[in-house]
Amino acid sequence: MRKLPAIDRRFTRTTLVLLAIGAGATVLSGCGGATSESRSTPDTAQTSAPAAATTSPPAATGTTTPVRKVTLYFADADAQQLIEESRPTAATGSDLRASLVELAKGPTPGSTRQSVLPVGTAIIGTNVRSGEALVNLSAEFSQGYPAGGAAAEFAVLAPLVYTATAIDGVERVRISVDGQTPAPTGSQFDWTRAFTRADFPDVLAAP
Amino acid sequence: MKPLRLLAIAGAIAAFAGGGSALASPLVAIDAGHGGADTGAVGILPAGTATGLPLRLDADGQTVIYEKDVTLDVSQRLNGFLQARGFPTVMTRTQDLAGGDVPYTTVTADLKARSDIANTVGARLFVSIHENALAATTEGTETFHFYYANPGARALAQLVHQEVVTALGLPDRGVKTAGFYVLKHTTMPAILVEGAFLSNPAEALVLADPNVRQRLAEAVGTGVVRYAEAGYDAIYGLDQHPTTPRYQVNAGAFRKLGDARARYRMVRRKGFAAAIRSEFHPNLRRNLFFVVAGKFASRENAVTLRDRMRTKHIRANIAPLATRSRAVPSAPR
Repeated sequence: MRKLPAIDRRFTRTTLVLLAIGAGATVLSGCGGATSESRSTPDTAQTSAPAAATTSPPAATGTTTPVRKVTLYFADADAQQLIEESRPTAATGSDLRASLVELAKGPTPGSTRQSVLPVGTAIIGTNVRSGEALVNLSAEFSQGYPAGGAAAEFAVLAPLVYTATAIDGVERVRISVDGQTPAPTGSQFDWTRAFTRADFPDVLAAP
Repeated sequence: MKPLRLLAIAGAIAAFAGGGSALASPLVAIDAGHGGADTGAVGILPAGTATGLPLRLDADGQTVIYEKDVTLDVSQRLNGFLQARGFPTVMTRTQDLAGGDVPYTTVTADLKARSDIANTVGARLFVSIHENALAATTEGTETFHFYYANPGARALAQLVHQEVVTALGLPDRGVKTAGFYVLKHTTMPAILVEGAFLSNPAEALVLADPNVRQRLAEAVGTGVVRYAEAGYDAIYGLDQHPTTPRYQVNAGAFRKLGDARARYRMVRRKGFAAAIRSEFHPNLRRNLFFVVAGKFASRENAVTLRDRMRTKHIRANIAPLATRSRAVPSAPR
C-alpha cells in the first residue's frame, strides 16, 4: 500500500483556532521559586496538514533577534519512531516554553511526520521544578485527544515527553489541562503521574 | 453481584494454588479495552456491513465500528477459548460498561478498576485487548508490555504477538514497551494487544468479520497457552508470589560475558527463559557471569526446572539465590 502523508483525521481540521484566554488564565500552582510562565495570548497548536498550511513555515520566522535553536521530536508517518528535528525559534521565554511553542506548530510542512498536539491546544504555562517540567495546556488538548489507539497516543504524547526532557535538567513531564490533572477519554496512560522517557523506551530513530 | 463474582474467582485460585506445578493453568485476567462512554477508536465501514456487533452509526448516518465493541467481542471469544482449555479466567468487564461493569466516569477510574480486579483476585496473567488507530493508511499488529514492570511480560508479549501476526497476516509492527496504566499497575505479567487499525478502512473491514475476530481471539489464547506450557511463571518465580525466592537454577557461570551470552542464546533456543546476572565470586576474587534460568521459593520447583533442562542436555544446577547480583544485558547494545 502506498504511504500517503499520514495525518490523523482528528488533526486535519483546517480551521486555525485562535484562542483568547482571559487574564484569568490558569497558571500552574505552587511555583516554589521556580521559573513559571503564562501568557495572556497562549501559543496555539495549528493544523499540520501540508495542503492546509496557510501559515508560514515554522522555520522561516525572519527575525532579527539572535536565533536560538530548539530540539524537537516528531513521530514518523507510521508512529513507529521519533525523529529529531533542530529548529531555530523566535519564541520568547524559557527553553522549555520555546520548544513546546515550536512543537505545537507541528512538523515542517511537507514532511510526513505526525502533528503532535490536538488542533487548538494552547500552551498556557510552563514551569520546571526539581527536574520536573510542568506543562499546562488548554482544554482543547483533552477534547481533541485520540479516542483510542496506541499509535495515535504515541504520536501525541511521546514527542511531548521527549521534547520536554531534551531540556537540560528536565527528567519528567507532568501535564495538566487548565491547571487540573487531565483524564482524556480513551487514553491508556496514568495522567496522575509525571511521564518519563521510560514510558516510551527505545523509540528514537537513528540520526 | 460484584463481591459474589470475586469470591467465585478466589475459590478458583485456591483450587489452583494447591498444584504449584509450572504447567498448572494460570488464572488469566482478560481486559476488553474501553467501554461505555469511552468508545475507543472509531472505524468507518461500508453501509450495511454485517459485523455481528451492535449497529453503530455516526452523526452523518454512516456505518461505523467502535473499538469497545470489537474488544469485548474478542475478549468473550478469548474467554471461551481459554475456559475450554481449563484456564480459569476473570473478565474486567462483560458488558458495554467501564472496567468492573460500572458506568464510565473517568479514564483514570476505569483503568484503576481494571488493574484492581486483576490484582485483587490474584490473576497470574493479564491480557488487554485493543485495536489501533492513526491514519487511514497505517496498518499492522503490535503488542505491548512494560519492560520495567515484570520479566514475564516480555515473554508473554512475544508468544502472543507471534500468534496474532500469523493469524491476521497483517504487517508486523513489533513487540514494544510502553508505560500504559494496566501494564504498570498490575502485579502479574501483563500485555496489551493492538490487533489491527480501525482508522484504516481495509483493516476495519477485516475486524468487522466475526470469523477474523474468532481467529484473533484464538491466536491470543494460543499464545497464553504456550506461555503457560513453557513454564515461564515458574522460570521467573512468578508462581511463588508473594513468597520470596530462595533458590536459583543456573545454566552455567563464565568469566567472559561473550561466553555467557552464547550459553544464554543456547538456553533460549531450547525453549527456556534465561537472564544473565553478574556476581562477585569471593574465592576467585572476580565477577562471574551467571546464566540464570529461574528463581524459586521451593527447592522442589527448582529441581523440576533443573531436571527439565538436563533432559534437553543443558548443564544446570541449583544454587542459593544470589542476592547481590546485578542484571547484565543478554545482547550487546
